[in-house]
Amino acid sequence: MLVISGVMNGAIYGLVALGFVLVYKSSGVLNFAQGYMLLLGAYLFWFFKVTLGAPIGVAMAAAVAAGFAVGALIERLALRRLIGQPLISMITVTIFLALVLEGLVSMTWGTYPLQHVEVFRESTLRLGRIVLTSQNLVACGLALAAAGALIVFFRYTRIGLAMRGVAEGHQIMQSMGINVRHILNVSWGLAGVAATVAGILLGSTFGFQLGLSQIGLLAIPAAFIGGLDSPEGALLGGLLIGVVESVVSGYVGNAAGVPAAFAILIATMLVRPYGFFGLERIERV
Amino acid sequence: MLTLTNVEVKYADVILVLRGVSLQIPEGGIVSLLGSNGAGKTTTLKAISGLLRTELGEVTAGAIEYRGERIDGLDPERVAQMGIIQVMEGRKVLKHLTIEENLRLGGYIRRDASRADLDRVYDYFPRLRARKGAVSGYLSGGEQQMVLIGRAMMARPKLMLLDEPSMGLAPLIAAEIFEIIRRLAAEEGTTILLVEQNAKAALRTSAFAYVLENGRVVLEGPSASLAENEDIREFYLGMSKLGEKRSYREVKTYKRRKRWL
Repeated sequence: MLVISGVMNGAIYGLVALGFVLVYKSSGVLNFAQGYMLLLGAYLFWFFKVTLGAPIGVAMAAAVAAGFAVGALIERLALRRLIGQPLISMITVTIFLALVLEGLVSMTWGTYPLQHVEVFRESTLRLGRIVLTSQNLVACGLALAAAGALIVFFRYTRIGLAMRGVAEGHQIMQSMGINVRHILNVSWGLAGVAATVAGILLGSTFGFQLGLSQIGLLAIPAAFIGGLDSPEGALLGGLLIGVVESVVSGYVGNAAGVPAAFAILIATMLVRPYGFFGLERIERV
Repeated sequence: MLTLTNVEVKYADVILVLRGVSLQIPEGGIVSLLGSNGAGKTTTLKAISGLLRTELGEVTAGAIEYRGERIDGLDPERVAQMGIIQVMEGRKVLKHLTIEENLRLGGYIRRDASRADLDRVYDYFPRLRARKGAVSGYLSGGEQQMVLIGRAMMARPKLMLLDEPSMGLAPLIAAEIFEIIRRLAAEEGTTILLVEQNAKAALRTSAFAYVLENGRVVLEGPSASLAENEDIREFYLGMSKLGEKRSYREVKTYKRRKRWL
C-alpha cells in the first residue's frame, strides 16, 4: 500500500524532475523557479476550468499551451541576456524569479486555497488490501505518459537531438549554423509544460494552494539521484523518492519522510556524483 | 568568392589581434593560411564565420564580403546558412553523442538532409561507417577529426574553413586527412580555406597561400613558389639555405633575421 502510493506521488516528482533536467541539460542552469512554474500552471488550469468554465480537456490543453508560453517567455525575457555570463548570475535570477512568480499568483488569486475542482470522477478501486482512488490512478498514469512523451521527444526527434547537442557546447552548435537561442527557448517551454501537467495533477489531488510549489524542492533530489542530465534517470529518481518518502513516513513517522529523501540524495552524491544515469565525464588521456 | 579587405579585429574593445588582413579566396580550390601561434589565423577564420561574436571579438574596420555581400557583423548561424562552415580546432566533437548523431546535427540546417548525405560522408570515411553507433568522445583523435569534417560536409558548405585539422595527429593519419581535403575540393567542388601549422603539408595541398604574422599578412603567393621562398624554408619548413635539414647544433649560434620585418 505504501509502495503503491509512493509510486503515485513518485510519478509526479519524476515529471517535475524532468523539468529540471530539460533546462539543466541544455543551459547548465538549475532552475529554482521550477516549483513556481508548476504553481502558476496549476492556477492557470484552475482559471480556465473554473473562471472561464471550459470543459476539462480544453482547460488542460489551454493550461499546457500557456505553460509552454510561460517557460519560453521566461527564457526570452530573463535568461537570454545572460547567455555567456557567469552561471551563478543565471541561477540567482531563477531563485528570485521563483519569488516573482509566487507573488504574481498570490496577487491574482489571493493566498487562500482555491475552491476544490473535481477533475476526475472519484471512485475507489480495491485490489485485495490495497485501496486506490481513480483520482490517484489517473494522475499517476498521466504523469507517466507526459514524462514518457517528453523522453521520447528528447531521444528521437530532430529538435530533441539538437537539445542534447546544445548541452555540450553552444559554440560548437553555432558553428554548425544551429540557432542555440531557439533551442534553449524550446527547452524552457517544455520545462513549462512538464511543470504545468504536474501542477494540474497535484492541484487536483491536494487542492489548488500556494503550498504546491514545495514539490519543486522535493523533485531536486529526484533529478540529482537520476543524474541531472538524464531524463530517464529523473523519472526513475522521482519514483524512488516517492516510494522512500511514503514508506519512511508510514513506518517511521510523517516527519521523517522528506528528510529521508534528502538523505538518499546526499548518499547518492557521495557514491556517484553524476547520479545513477547521468553522463559520465568523458576524458581521454 | 570571399574577400577580406583590411580587416581589423579587436577583442573586448582593447586587444588588437588582426591589423588589416586582406585575403582573396577564389571559387573552388584550396587556399592555405600559415603562421605561428598567436599570429591571428584562428581569429581570421572566426571573423569570417561570425563565431568571433560569441567571444567578445569584433571586426572593427575593413570588410568581409562573400559573393558580393557583406557578412561581417552577421550572426554565426546566418553565416553558416549562407554556406560557410567552420571546422573548429581542437577536435570539438559532441562527446556524448554517437558518430551518426554528430553527423545528423551537421545536417540540421538543411531541411532536405537525407540518408544519401550520410552515405556520402561514410564513403569518404569508411571507418566512421563501421563505428557509427560509437560514442564520439571515446574515439581516437584521427576519428574525431573525421567526424568533424564529415559533420561539416553534412551541411553541404560552399566554403569550408578548416582550423588545424592535422593538429596532434600521427603523421600517417594527418596525411590521410590532407588527402580527404584534396578530394573534397576536387570531387565536391567545396572551396577550402585551410589554416595550418604544418606548413609543408599545407603548401603541398593548396594552390595559393598566405603567411600571417602578428595580425598582418606578411607574404602571399602561389603555394609552389612560397615553398621555394628562402624565408619560408627557414622559418616554417626548418631547412637551411642548402636545402638540407638544419642541425640543432647551429640553432644557437646563427639566427637569421626575418627580412619582412
